[in-house]
Amino acid sequence: MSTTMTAPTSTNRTPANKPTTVVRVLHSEWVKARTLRSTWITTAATLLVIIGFGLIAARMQVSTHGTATGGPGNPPGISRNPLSTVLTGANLALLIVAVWGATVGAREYATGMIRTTMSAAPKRLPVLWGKLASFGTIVVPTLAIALAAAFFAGMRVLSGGDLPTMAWGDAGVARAVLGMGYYILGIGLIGLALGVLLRATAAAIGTVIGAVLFLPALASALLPTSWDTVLQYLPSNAGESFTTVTQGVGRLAPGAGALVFTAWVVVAIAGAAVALQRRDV
Amino acid sequence: MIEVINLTKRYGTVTAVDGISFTVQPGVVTGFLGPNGAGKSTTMRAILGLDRPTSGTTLVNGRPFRDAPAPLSELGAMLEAKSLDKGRSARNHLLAIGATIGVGARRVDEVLELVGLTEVGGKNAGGFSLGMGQRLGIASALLGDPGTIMLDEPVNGLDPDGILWIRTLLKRFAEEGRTVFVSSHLMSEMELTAEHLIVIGQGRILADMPMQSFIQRSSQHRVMVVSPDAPRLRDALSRPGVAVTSDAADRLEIEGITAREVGELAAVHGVTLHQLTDIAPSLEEAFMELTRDTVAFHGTVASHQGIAA
Ligand SMILES: Nc1ncnc2c1ncn2[C@@H]1O[C@H](COP(=O)(O)OP(=O)(O)O)[C@@H](O)[C@H]1O
Ligand SMILES: [Mg+2]
Repeated sequence: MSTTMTAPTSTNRTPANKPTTVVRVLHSEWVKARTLRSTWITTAATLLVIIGFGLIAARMQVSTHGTATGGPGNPPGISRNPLSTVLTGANLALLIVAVWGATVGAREYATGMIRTTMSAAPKRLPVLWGKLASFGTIVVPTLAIALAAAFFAGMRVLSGGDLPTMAWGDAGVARAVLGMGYYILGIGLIGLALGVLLRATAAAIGTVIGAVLFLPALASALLPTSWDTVLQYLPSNAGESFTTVTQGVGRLAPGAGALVFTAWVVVAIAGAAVALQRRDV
Repeated sequence: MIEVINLTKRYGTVTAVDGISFTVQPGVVTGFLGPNGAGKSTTMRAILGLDRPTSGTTLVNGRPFRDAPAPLSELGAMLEAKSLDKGRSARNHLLAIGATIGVGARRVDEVLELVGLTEVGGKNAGGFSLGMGQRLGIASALLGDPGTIMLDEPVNGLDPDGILWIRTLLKRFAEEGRTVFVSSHLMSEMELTAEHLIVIGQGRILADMPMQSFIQRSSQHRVMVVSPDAPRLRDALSRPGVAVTSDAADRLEIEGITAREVGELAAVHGVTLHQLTDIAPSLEEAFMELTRDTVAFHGTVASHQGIAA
C-alpha cells in the first residue's frame, strides 16, 4: 500500500470494477441524459405544447362553434375534425422532438465528450444503443402522458361545448393517437441517428426538419402527379397514413405506412451504426 | 503495458504516423516527445481505438483496447482536457463515465478529492478553468484505477503549481508500478518528468531509450574553461575534432574533448585554470541534435505534403 504526503487518498485504491457490458453502457448513457438540464426542459416543453395547445384549440373551437357562443348560422358541422383539434400541439411537438433527437445525437461531437465516451466504451455501438434507449425512455412516457391528456381533456372540452367528439374506442382513433406518438418518437430517433451520422447539431437539425419533414411537401408541389405514389413512401407521408383517422386518397394503408416509416427509422439508425463503427471518432 | 506495432495512420494524403513500433513498460514514466504535428496525439488516439489504424496494431495489456473487458480499469486516458460536456457537473460527468465499469459515488468522490476538485464537484464543468478541466480529465482517467495511464500534453496551459502537481502525480503512479505514458512537445518538461523517452518526429520514431542514454548519446558534452591564459590553451587545443568558441577573453567553450583531457593538456602546457566545467547537454540540445536534419523542426513551415514525402 502506498502512502503519500500530497493526497489523503491513495491512488491505488481498488474500486470494485465490473465488466463493461451493454447494460452498463446503457446505464452510463442514462446518467448522462438525466444529468442534463436541457433534457428536462425539453420534456416539459413537449408536455406543455401537446397538452396546452390541444386544450387551447379545443376551447377556441367551442367559443367559435359551440353552444355557448355559436349562433344559428354556425352549425357544429363546420368545426374541425375533433381529433386534429385536440392534437393540434403534436405538430409543434414533432419539431421539438426532432431537434431534441438531433441534439442528443450530435451533442458529444460538439463538446468533445465523445472522445471520453468512446475511450470508456471502445466497442462504440453500445453507446448508440444507449443514446437511443435513454432518449426513448424519456420520450415514450412523455408522449404517452401528453397525448393521453390532450386527447381525453380536449374531448371533454369539446363535449362540454356540445361539439362532436371522438371516443377512444371509435374506429381508428386509438390507432391514430398511438400512431401520432409513434411518429413523433420515430422522427426523434431519425434525428438522433442523423446527429450521430453528421456529427454536427445544426446539420442534423437541418436535415431532419428539411429532408424528412419538408421535402415531401416540396417534392409533391414540384414533381408531376405521376410521382405521387412514390412520394407516399417518404417518411412524413407514410407517417400521415397512420396518424389520422380518415384515409387520404392515394395514401398508404395505416399498416403499410407504419411499416414504411419503421423502415426509415431502421435505415437511419443502421446508417449511424455503420458510420460509428467504420470511421474515426 | 502498451504496445504499438508497425502503426501507420494516414488522413487522406497526410501520413500522420509512419510505421512506428514501440513498447511502453510499467514502472517508469515514459515520455513521448516530439514537436507539434509529429504524430503524438494520433498515436494515442490509435491506442485508445478512437482512430482506426491505416495499418498496424496497438495493444493494451496484450490485446486491442476495444477487447478489454472493462476498458476504463485497464487504460485511463486524457487526450484533450475539455473532452467533456459543459452542461454537466464534474461529479455527474464522472458518475456517467464510471457507470461503464459499475463504479459509483464513493469512487467518484475519492478521485474528486485526489485531484482537488471536491469543492467544485457540483459545479458545471463548462465554467472550469483550463487547469480545473485538466484535473477533471485526470480524475476521469483515474476513475477505474487503471494499470496504465496515458496523458496527451497534460501540462499545456497549466500554471507552475499545476505542472508540479502533475509531475509529482505521474512519478507516483510509476512508483506504484503503473504504466505511465505522457506526451509533450516541451523538452524541458520531459527532462523533469520522464525516465524513459520515445522521441517522434514526422511520424517516425527517432529514439526509444532511457532519458540518460538519450542525453549522452545524442549530444556531446562540452567543456567550459576560465583561464587567464585562454589564447595559449586555445592554441594547444587546435587539433582535428575539437571545436573551440569563446565569448569572453578568458573563457573557452570546447567541444570534442573531455574535461579530463582539457585539464591534462593544460597541465602539460603549464596553463593556469581558474575553472574547468563539464557541461552536460540539456534534453533540449540533445533533441535539437537528433532532429537537426528534419525539415519540420526548422521553423520552415512544412506543408502536409512535405511531411508525407
Ligand atoms: N483528424 C485529422 N485529419 C487530418 N489530419 C490530421 C488529423 N489529425 C492529425 N492530423 C495531421 O497529422 C499530423 C500529426 O498530428 P498529431 O498527431 O496531432 O501531432 P502531435 O500530437 O504530435 O502534435 C499533423 O500533420 C496533423 O495535421
Ligand atoms: Mg497533439
